[in-house]
Amino acid sequence: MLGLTANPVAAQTERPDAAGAGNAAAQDQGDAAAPCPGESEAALLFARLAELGLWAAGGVAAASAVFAAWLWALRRGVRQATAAARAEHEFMRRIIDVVPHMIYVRDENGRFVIANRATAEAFGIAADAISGQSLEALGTPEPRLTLVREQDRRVLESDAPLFVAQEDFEDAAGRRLLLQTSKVPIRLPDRDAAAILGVSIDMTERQKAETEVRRLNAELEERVAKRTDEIDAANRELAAFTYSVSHDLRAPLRTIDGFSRILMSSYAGQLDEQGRHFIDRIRAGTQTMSRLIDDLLRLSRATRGVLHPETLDLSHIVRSTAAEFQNKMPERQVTLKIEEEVTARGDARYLQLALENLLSNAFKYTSRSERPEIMFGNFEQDGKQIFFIRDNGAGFDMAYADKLFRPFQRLHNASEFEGSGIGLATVNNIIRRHRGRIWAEGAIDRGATFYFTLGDIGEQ
Amino acid sequence: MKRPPILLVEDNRDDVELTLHALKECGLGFPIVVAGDGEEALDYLFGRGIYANRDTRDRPVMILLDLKLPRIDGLQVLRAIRDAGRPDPIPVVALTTSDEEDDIVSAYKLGVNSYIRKPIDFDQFSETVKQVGRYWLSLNMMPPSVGPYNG
Repeated sequence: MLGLTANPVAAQTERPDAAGAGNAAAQDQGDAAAPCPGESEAALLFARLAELGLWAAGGVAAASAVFAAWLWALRRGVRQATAAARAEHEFMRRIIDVVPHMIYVRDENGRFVIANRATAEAFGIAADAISGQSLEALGTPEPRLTLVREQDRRVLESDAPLFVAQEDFEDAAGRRLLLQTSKVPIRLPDRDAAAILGVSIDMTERQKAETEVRRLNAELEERVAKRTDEIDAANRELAAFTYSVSHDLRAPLRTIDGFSRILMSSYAGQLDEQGRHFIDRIRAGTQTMSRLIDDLLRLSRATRGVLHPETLDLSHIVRSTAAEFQNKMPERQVTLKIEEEVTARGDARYLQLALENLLSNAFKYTSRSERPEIMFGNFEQDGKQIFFIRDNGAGFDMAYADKLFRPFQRLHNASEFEGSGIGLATVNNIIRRHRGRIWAEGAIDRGATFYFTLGDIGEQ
Repeated sequence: MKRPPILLVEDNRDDVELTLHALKECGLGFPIVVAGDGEEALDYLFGRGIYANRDTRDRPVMILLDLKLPRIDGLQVLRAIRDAGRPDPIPVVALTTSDEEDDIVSAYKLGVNSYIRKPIDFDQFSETVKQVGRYWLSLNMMPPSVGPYNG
């Protein structure tokens, strides 16, 4: 495209079958290139007219007329071809000028052969004036000048592309830019000489954005770390609190129970039936409160502490826990149906505590059933493993299902089934910490089923 | 010869009274020395402070140690006994309200011989004290006393 300024007439006279001597593409591809349509028409016309003229007139005048006609036809054809090439050239030029990155070709002497508008603007020169200018003439300072020359030299010598991920560049307006540059070796068509095609992308804004993202991430991490510290501090405070609750609340209970008991044994003779009954009630009260305190401690322990995930045989845990309950309550005849080889990942101690609570409930609420039965198993639903413990005991009213897992919420009168109302809250805490969910289904006197899922708690 | 005492380290006066009652009920027949905190316990063992004139060769036969004590707590008492630098022939039984895993682990690391959580029910407590006394003072064999502590 670049060399279409050579004399087309001379080209035609010397090489009538070629598409113009200066055309780099045609030259590179040899004579295989097809002649322009205008030129072939002109050649045909010339041949015809020559024949016609030579045979018919046979004179110089006739030959001159024929030559003039040929020239006219030829010029018209070449003019059309040149106009098309120029339009294409301008179109290409517009494209590279619109591109917001610097695109340029430099020859082996370090002079610009072509450069797009972005390049010219960066060097503070008009786009049509940059051609032929060297980097130093355009005011490139050291050490950048040496650096760029070295890059160019390497590309020329190795005849291989070069990629510069980041380089500093100060443009004519004094703005400091961060460029990403690719340089590839290229041949100059009109001189058949080696040159460099360079493309530089302005990374300044992207870099700024990345820096900002990194800063925001760091800030977020810092904030999360701070929050974690605060939570840790709160947890430690809670641990200290429960410790002192354990110690301080239990001590006076021991006092009450101890002296009541001494009163009962040492002063029995001075107490009547009713007096002894009152002391019994006092001691029963201390026992209830003692259990409450222990349950509260368990609830708080289920909330803190690190989980150590491992693969667990839940069937085994359920079987051994149920066996313990049966040993403690030999008078109870409960049918156990435990599905074999139900496994899950979780913390052994916490899940043991959760299953213990659920089984304890199942034993408790089947105490009035005729043929008490407790079932443990699992099934899959929507790709999730769901575990369940089912009993055929007292059940509960579904209207209160959401209250089940809140601490101190009891759905049964204490005289029917004793309990502190903390067990299921503890189970809920444990399941939640395992990124799972627990829910229950039941009906009064028709048993209850507790379902739960366990999530992935990773390798903590 | 005078029988060596049991050293009870307990700051709660009600607990002291109840423990003394339980010890009396089980009839072990040992005198009991009460230290109201860790400092007093160490003074007694090492013959310091109010016990400066005590003959430290008269060593207690057993120490019942509460862990949560004012000033010097039970774990510090354990450490001081261990740091006294000789094999400890006095059985130390932690008798406490805490069932915190940390406390249990620390107590055993510091060489406690037994760790018991005081039951709230006095009958159970009484039974516990009886069993502890019987085990450490009659069933269990200890090496002969090797002389006084040097605090």
